[in-house]
Formats: sequence, structure tokens, C-alpha cells
Amino acid sequence: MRPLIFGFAGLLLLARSVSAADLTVTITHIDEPGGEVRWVLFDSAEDYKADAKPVLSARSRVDGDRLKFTVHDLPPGRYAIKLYHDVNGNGELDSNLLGLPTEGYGFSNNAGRFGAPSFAKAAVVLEDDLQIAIRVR
Amino acid sequence: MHRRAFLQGLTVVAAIPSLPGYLAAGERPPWALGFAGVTQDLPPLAMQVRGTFPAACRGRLYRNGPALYVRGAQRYRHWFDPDGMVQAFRIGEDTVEHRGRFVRTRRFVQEEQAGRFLYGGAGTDFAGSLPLRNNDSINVANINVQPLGGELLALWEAGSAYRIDPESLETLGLLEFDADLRGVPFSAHPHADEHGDLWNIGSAPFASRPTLVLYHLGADGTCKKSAAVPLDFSGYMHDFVLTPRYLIVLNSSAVQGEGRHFVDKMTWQPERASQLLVFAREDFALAAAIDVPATFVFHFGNAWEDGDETHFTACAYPDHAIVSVGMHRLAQQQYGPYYEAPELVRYSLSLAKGAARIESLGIDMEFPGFDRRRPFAAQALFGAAGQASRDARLPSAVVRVDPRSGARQRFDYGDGVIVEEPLYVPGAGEGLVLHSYLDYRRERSGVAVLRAPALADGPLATAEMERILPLGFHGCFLPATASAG
Repeated sequence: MRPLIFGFAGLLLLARSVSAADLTVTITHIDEPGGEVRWVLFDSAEDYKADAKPVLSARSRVDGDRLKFTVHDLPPGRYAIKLYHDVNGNGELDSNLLGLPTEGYGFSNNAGRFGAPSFAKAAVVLEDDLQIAIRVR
Repeated sequence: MHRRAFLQGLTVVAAIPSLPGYLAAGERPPWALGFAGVTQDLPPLAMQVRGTFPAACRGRLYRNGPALYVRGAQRYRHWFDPDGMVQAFRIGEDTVEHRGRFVRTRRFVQEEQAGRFLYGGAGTDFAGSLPLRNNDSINVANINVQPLGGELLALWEAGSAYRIDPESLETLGLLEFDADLRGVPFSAHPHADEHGDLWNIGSAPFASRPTLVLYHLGADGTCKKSAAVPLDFSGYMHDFVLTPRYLIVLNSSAVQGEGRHFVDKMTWQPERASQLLVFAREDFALAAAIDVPATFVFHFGNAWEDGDETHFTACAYPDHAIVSVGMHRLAQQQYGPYYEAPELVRYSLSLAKGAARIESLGIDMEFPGFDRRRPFAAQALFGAAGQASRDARLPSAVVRVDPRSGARQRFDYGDGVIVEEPLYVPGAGEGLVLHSYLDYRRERSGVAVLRAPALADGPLATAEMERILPLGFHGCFLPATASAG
């Protein structure tokens, strides 16, 4: 995979390959101003679980209560996104002494109830260009 | 009054057909009014006053409780769940004015905007509910309202407290300490010590390991210290006991297991001893852990010391059916009662021996109150007792109990009047008892004041209105000097 070109406007460009598709993600309900949304795209359950070897890892500056970005030219497959709103810019999803997150976060499919969902629940199937929305919880 | 209660009792008996029939009929019991809820903030309304409210109870009676039951076709199915509304009764020389305002929790604001419930509750799940950021995502701030540093706190028990303006009832934001304590449960019954410092617990059975958080706050609300203590098991806990040297917490035998929501996860484990955990105020070190027979308690009376023993009272249930069945039935306006009445018991603890003695005071009672200026005195307890309807354990009487001798006095309004938490108000000789009530037969909500030493004489004054308030949980009284009443 070619290195990505990444901009704060949220536009991502990859070299187009045969039968590639675009994944457009709208992040909604960002309920605190400022900071960045940091998001990571995975294409396997193992990497998703281990938080390792993401397809993409990027960040987008928050300006308003929503964000939109497109990942271009992804090979067909199953993908899952994890994201969090790094309000204070410390590069971490902050948590309290109980280990529970205190900044906003989300997953593709808006999966999970209390805590992180499995890859199977968060994964979307990309065949053609796809638009999804993730609500920051 | 007893005669009236007796006569009304007969009427009810005559009106009710055989039990299976009336259960199947799908009719709502008359007290269902108390669980209808409201959908809007309630603007100031002058109440009709009878009698004279003594000067000592001029000020504000604040109350909190579950109030928003319905959005569209969705309705909460447990009394724990509806959004909190802070009620203020402003008691003047010859006027009483009521107003109510929903606490603008993060959740309330989101759901108001969406026009539907987005999340489930502690005892209700809705299809298509959104995932939670953390426990505070479903915070409804609906259990208690208490003063802190010139403001009010609208308290829940599984998340943060919300700060409320005592004048406008507007929501000012979360009570926040430091980043580590953000969103950490701050229970609904903080207790003040002899210096005015505030102590509290927070129970987090949903953490990766069940955890109890202990708080020590200055009178201005700053956190002087806190501690997180891992628990052996995740028993339900709601209130605690403050003593001159300790915090005593009951880890009950209603333990979190698997389930759809918090209430569903609660399992009664009668074979498991409940645990009295005694923590030193000084450093929150565990001073003792004493097993007691399986019990379920929401509320405790205050503690007093007597030689080597520490005494306190508790409103004890034989199991958790009040939560798992009763509060579901009540919120769904169904005939009950389906759970046992709470019994006032006295615990006597010997820390040296690590032993507890438990004695019944032979009275059913809930919502214990006392003179909070004397938190460690052996003193009269006030509470709500009796039964306003034979099919629901909703109290109809105000009682005063001596926790040492068990001597008691009561005034029973009889069938049809539901008494809410009685508060002791100092002044006017030996003090007053102030409480709100719902007269569901006459379809009125009201406030009554009685003389604390002579409850049996009945109310000195009442104020009523045709505005029906949802039955709530707890509150406080702030005299006019403190609340600019």
C-alpha cells in the first residue's frame, strides 16, 4: 500500500488500484469543541483486537460537531474503524480511575453497548464505494 | 383520622373483585397518578394554604425524583429510570409556591433534541438504544437534591452529581473534581460531619473489578481526599453510615451478575453473607469487615457511639424484590405490592470483637430522617410508614421512632394519601417535620408540616395544588436565611 497523503480537511488519497472502492466516513455528535478526532482503520480481527498494524491511522482537527473524510481506493474487504475525540490533545483516550473512558469515542456500525465491540460487530463490508456514519458516544 | 382510614379500607375491600380478576383487568390502580410523570418544566404556581406554616419552616423545600416517564411511544418501566426533576416549594408567611425543572443532564439534552429516549435505563431497555460512553451516559440525576457550597446538587448514584442553581433551578454543570474522578459514581446520600465536611461513597459494580470509591469533601465542595477500594463482590449499596471515626458501608447480598440492564443483572444471593465494611475517616483504611446475614438496605439512620459499641439503624428488606419486582410494578402502574415492607432494625457493632448485633425495632419504615445538626447523637428518627393502598407499599403515615427504646408515635393520613420523605426541621421548640404528599383520591399534591414532638396531632398546616407531582425520592430543606426564601 502506498503511503497516504493526509490533510486536516479530512481528505485522504491513495493510489487507485483495480476494483478499489472509497470509504466515506461521517463522524457525528462531537459534543465538545476543540481537539482532534483520532481514528484508525483495520482490515482484520487480529489487528483490530491487538490495536496493531492498522491500514490507516490518522487524525482530523475538530471544527464543529461533525467531521467527514474519505479513504480512497481500498481493496474490497471487511473494515472496522475505532476513533476517539482527543479533546485535550494528549494523544490518549483519557480514562478515570475505574479505567472507563471520559472522552468521546466510537466504532464503525456504532457497535457495542458498554465498552468496545468485537471486529465482527464493528466491521463493514466494502465492495463498492460506501458511506458510513459513526456517532461519537 | 383512624376512623376515616378504617372506613376507606372497607370501601376498597368492597370495590375490589376477586384477586385474579382484578389483576387481569388491566385497570390502573388509583395511585397510578403518582407514576404518570410530567413532560414539561413546571412554572411557579401558588398553592392553597391551610393553617399557618411556622416561621422555622419558611424557606425552600427541595425534592428530586424520577419525573419524565414518556417520550413518544417509549415509556420507562422502572422507578429508577425517569429523568430527574428538582421541585422547589417556597414556603413564605402565608404563601407556598411550587415550581419544578428537569435536570439538564447530558442525556436529557440529547434526548430532548432527538425527541426520543436514546439510551436504556438502570431498569429499562429500549430496542435500538445507543451505545454508552460510560456510566454517566445514562445519568438521570433523579435521586436526591442536597446543598453544597451555596449551590444544590442533583444526585444520582451511578455517576456524577449535577450542580443546580438554588434560585432558578437551572443546571450549572457537573460537580467535577480531578480527571481521575471524572464520571466516577458519587452516590445520592452524602453525609455531613460535625465540622460541615461532606463524606460520600460511590459504587461501581460495572468496573472491570467491582469498586467502592470513598470521598471526603470540604464544605465548599473541594475534594480533600478520595480512595478506590476493590470489593470482594458487587453487592448493591445506596447509602452508608458516617460515625465520628468511620464510614460504614453495607455490601448487600443483591449482587451483579449477567443481564440486560443494571436491575436485571442484580441477583439475590441469600447464601452469601452481606458485608459491613468499616473504613477509617482519617485515611480510608479498612478497619473491619463484618459478615451479617443476607440483607438488602437502601437507607440508614445516623450513628451514635456508646462505650465500645457503635449503633445505627437501617430500613432492611429480606431480599431485593423491591428493586427487581416492586419498582417495576409501581412504575408500570400495576397492582402490587410483590415485596415485603422494610423493617427498622438497629445494628450494634463492636469493632474490637468484629461482631454485629442486629435487633428489630418492630416497625416498618422507610426514608429515615433525623436532626442533621447532631449527626452522632442518639436521637429520634423520622420516617414514612404504613400503606396508602392495600395493593402498593406506598406509605401513608409519618412516624417518629426512638432508636434505643423503639418507642414511636405516628400520624396516619389513611388510605389514599402517599407520604413522601419526612424531613426534620429545627426550630419552633422541639422541631418540625416537613413532607410532601400525594392525595391521589382528591388528585392533589401537597406539603404538610407537623410538630416533631407531637406527630399524632396531625399537620399544623398544609399547602395543596391540583398539579400532580410524580412521586419522588429525597430532598432537603433550606431555611429562608440560607435560601433568601
